Amino acid sequence: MRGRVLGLVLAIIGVVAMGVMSIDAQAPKEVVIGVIIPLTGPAPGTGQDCKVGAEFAADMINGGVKVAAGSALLGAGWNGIPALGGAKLKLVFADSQASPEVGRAEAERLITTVKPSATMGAWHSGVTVAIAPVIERYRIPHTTVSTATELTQRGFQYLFRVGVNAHQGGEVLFQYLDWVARDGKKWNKLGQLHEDTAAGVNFANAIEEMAKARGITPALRVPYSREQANMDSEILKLKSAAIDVLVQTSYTSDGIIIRKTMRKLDYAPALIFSQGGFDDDPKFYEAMGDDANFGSKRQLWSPALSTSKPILKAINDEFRRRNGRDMNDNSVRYFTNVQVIADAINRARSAEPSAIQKAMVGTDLKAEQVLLVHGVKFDEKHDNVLAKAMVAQVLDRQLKIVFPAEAATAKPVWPIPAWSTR
Amino acid sequence: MTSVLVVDDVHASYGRFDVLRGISLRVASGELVAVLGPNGAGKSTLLKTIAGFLAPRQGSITLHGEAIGGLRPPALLRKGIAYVMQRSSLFPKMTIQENLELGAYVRETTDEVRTDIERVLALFPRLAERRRQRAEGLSGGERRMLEIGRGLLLRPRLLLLDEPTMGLAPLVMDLIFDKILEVRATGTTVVMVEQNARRALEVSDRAYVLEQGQTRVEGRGEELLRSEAVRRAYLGSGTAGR
Amino acid sequence: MTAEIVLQSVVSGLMFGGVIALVAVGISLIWGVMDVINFAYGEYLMWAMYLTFFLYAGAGLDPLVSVPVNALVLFAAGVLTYRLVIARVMRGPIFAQLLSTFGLFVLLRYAAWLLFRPDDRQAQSLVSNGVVKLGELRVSTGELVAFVGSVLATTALFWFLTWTKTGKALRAVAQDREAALALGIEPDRLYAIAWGISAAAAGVAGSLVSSFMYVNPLVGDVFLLPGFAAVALGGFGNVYGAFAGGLVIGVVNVTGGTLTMPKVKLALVYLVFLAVLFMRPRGLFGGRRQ
Repeated sequence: MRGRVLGLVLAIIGVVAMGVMSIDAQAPKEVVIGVIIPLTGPAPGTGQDCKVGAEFAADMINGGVKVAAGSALLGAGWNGIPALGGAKLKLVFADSQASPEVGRAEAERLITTVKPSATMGAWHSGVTVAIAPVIERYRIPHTTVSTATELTQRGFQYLFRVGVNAHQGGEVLFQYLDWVARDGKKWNKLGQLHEDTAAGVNFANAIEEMAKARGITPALRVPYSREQANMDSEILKLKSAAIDVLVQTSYTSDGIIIRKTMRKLDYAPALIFSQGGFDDDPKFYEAMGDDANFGSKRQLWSPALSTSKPILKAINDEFRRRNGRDMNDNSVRYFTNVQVIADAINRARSAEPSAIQKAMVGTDLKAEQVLLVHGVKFDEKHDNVLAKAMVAQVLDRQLKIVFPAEAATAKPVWPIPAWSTR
Repeated sequence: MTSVLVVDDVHASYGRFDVLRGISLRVASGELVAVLGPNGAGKSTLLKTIAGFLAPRQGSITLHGEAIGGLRPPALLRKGIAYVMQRSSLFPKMTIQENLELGAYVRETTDEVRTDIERVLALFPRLAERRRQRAEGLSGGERRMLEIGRGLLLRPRLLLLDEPTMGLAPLVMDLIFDKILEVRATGTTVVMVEQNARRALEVSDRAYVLEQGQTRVEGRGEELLRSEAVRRAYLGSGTAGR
Repeated sequence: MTAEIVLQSVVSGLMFGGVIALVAVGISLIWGVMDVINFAYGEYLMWAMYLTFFLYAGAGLDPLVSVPVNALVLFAAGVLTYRLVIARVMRGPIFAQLLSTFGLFVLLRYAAWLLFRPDDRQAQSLVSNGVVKLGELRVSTGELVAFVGSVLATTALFWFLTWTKTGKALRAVAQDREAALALGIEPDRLYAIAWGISAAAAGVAGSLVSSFMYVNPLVGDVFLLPGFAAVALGGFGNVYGAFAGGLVIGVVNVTGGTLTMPKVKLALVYLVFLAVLFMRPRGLFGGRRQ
C-alpha cells in the first residue's frame, strides 16, 4: 500500500517535472534559419542583395527597425517571435557559388551542422532544383523565389514558392503586349534568347506555351551557354530573323556581353523583356551606363508604390540609409521570404520544422503585410496563387513601373530607339 | 706527323651487348683513314663513341693529346670533331643555306662563317645552285654532299664520316669519293667508315679492318688492296651494300 | 539570312579566330618541338587574365599595357614548368607526359579557384567599349585590338623561328633531335625556351582578351578545345598551319553558329576536330613538323 502511494507520488512528480522541462524546451532563445544564396560566382551582387534583404527583415522581426512600427507589415512591431517568448531569428548563410553541385553540398552541410528550423534559397533556379530533394529529405520547410516550374510539379511537401512562377511571371508580358497594342504599337515576331539552365529553359518553355495558347507562334528560340566569350552568332541570328519582341533570360556577365553585342551589331528590337537577372544587378547598370536603358522586365516591387503602400517609402529609405542603395526585386523577395517563415513559426508556436511546415501550408498574408505587390497564399502544389508581376522599364538608368497603369510611374518607350540615335 | 686522334684499347657497350672490345687506332694530321669490316664489327659504334654519343667503358680517346673520352657531342664539336651520321641527318624542311648555317652553330656568327658557307658551296656547286631549296627535295648524292658540307662548316680538326656512299649509285659514289679527297686536300683529317672496301682502300691513306669489336688488320691503303688475306676475307663481295 | 549578316558573322569569326590562332600557335609549338600535348594551356591563359586583372585593379594598368608584362612573367612560368615538371617526365613513357600536363591543368585551375573567388571579374581598358565600323561591318574595338595583337605576336614568333639562330635551332631540334645534338644544339635548353615562348603566347592572348572578356577559374575552357581543333586542322606541329587553323575555327564557330543554331557552335568545332582527326590526320596543311 505504501509502495503504491510512493509510486503514485513519484509518477506525479515525474509528470510535473516533464511538463516543466517541456515548457522550457518549447521556448528557445533563438530560431535558426538557413539561407542558401550565390554570395560568390558570376552574380555576387545578386547574392548580396538577397542577403541584406533577408537581414533587414530579420532585424525588423527582432525589433530593430523602428520605422516599421505601426505599419501593417508582418513582424513590424515584434521583438522576436511573439509565440516563442521573443525568440530572435538568426540567419545563417551558405554560398551556392551559383553552382548546383556546390549549392546542394552547402545545403546539406548547413542542415546537418546548424540544424535550422527553416531554410530559404537559392535564387538560381538550377540550384534550387538541386537542393530541393535535400530539403525534402531532411524535412525542413523552405521558401524560394525561383521560378522554375518543376519546383512545384514534383510533389515536394516542404518547398514553398513565395514569388511568381514562370507562368505567372510571363503572363504579364502578354497583358503588356495587349495593352500597348491598344495604343497602336505593332510588332511581328516574338523570339527568345535565354541561358540554358533551369531558369532560362523554364521561362522560355512557359512563354512558348502561353504564346501558343494565345495564337502567337514564337518565331525563334536561341538558347546559349553562359561560358563563352562571343555572342555574335546569337545576336546575328535574332537580327536576321527580324525578332522585334525579344524575351531574354540572362545573368549579369552574359547580360552585359549581350547588350554590348547588340550595340555593336546594331540590333534593337522593339521590346526586350526579361524575367529579372542581369537587370536586377547594380553591376549591370555600372557597366552599361546609358546602354542599360530601354530594357523591360518583370518587376515585383517598386518604392514608387508608396502611394498605395506608404510604408514602402519609409522602409526603402531606412534600407537605403543602411545599405547605400534602394531595395530591388531581390532584396524585397528575400525580405518577404523571411516574413513568411516568421509568420509560420509564430502560428506554429514552435521551432520544430514539421510544425512550421504545417503552419506554412495555411499561410494567408495580405499584400499590405509584405513588401511584394501581392500577398502570399499557397495552393496544393505550394505555388503562391496571389503572385503577380508588373512591367518595369529602364529609363534614365532606373527601373520605372510602366504597367499596369494604376501602378505606373512612367510611360513606356516603345519601340526601343535605334542605337544610332542614342 | 702529329697524331690528331689516338684511340687506345677502347671498350664500349649498348646495354649488355659489348660492341667494342678493345679497339686501338691512331690518325695523323691530314690523313684519310678508312675503317672497314663486316656488318656488326663495330665500325659505326666506333665513330659514335669518338663523337660522344656513347661513352667508352674502358680505354682512352685523345684528340691532339687531350683526353676526350666520355665528353658529349656539343663539347666535342667545340673541340673540332664533326660527325656525319650514317642515316640521313639533314633538317628536311630547312633550306640548304639554313642547314649549312646550323653546321656552324657552335661558332660565333661572323663574316668568317659566311665566307665558309661560300667556300663549301664552291666545293659543291650542285648545292650552290639550289641553296634556297629545302633539303627534303634533294637527291641521295646531294644530301650526302650537304651533310659533308655542313660538317665542314665547323672548320673541323677531324671529320668523321659514317658510310658516306651507302645506297648511292656508282657514279654518285665516285663523285662523293672525289669530294672527300678534295676535302682532305684542304688539310682536313678524315676518318671514314665504308662498306665499299675496294674503293675505300683505293682513296685512303691508311685503313683499319675491324672484326667483332677489335682491330684485325692495319696498314696503308695500297698494301691492304694487294694483300691476299684481306682480298679473300673482305674484298670478295667488295660492293656490298648496294 | 542576308549576305550582310553572313559576312558580318565571318568578320566576327575572324576576330575571335585571331586569338584562337595565337593559342593554337602556342600549343603547336610545343607539340611540334617535343611531341608534348599541353592540356594545361588554357589555364596559363586564365592565370594571365588574372594577372592582367590584378594589375588593373591594383595599379590601374590598362590590360593592353600588361601585354609585355604578361609575356615576360608567363615566359618565366613556362621555363619553370619545363625545368620542374616536363624535363623529368620526358624521360618516361608517353602516358607520363600526357598525365603530367593534365595534372598541371588540375593544379592551376583549382589553385585559382582557391585563391580567387569564382566571381566573374573584368578589367577595363580604353578599348573595352567602342565599336569600329568597316563599311557596314562592325567589330568591337577590344576584339579588333586583340586580333591585331594576336597577328603581331604570331608574326613576331614566326620571325623568330625563321630568322634568328635560336629559332632555327629550335626548328632543327623539332625536325631531328639527334642530328641537332650532333651539331652542338642542346635540346634541353631549346625545349625550355620553347615552353617559355609557348607560355608567353598564352600570356599575350590573355592580356589581349582581358579588355572584353570576364575572367573566372573556368575561362580556359573557352580557348582550349578550339585551340586543339585549330592545331589538328593546321597539321600537328605545323605552327603556320595552326595559325590558319585558328582563323578557320573562329569562322566555323561564329558563322556556323549563325547559319545553323548558335547553341551548336561549339559542337561544330568538335565536329571539325573529329573530322580532321579521322579523315585527314595530317591536317589541311599536311606535313609533320616545322
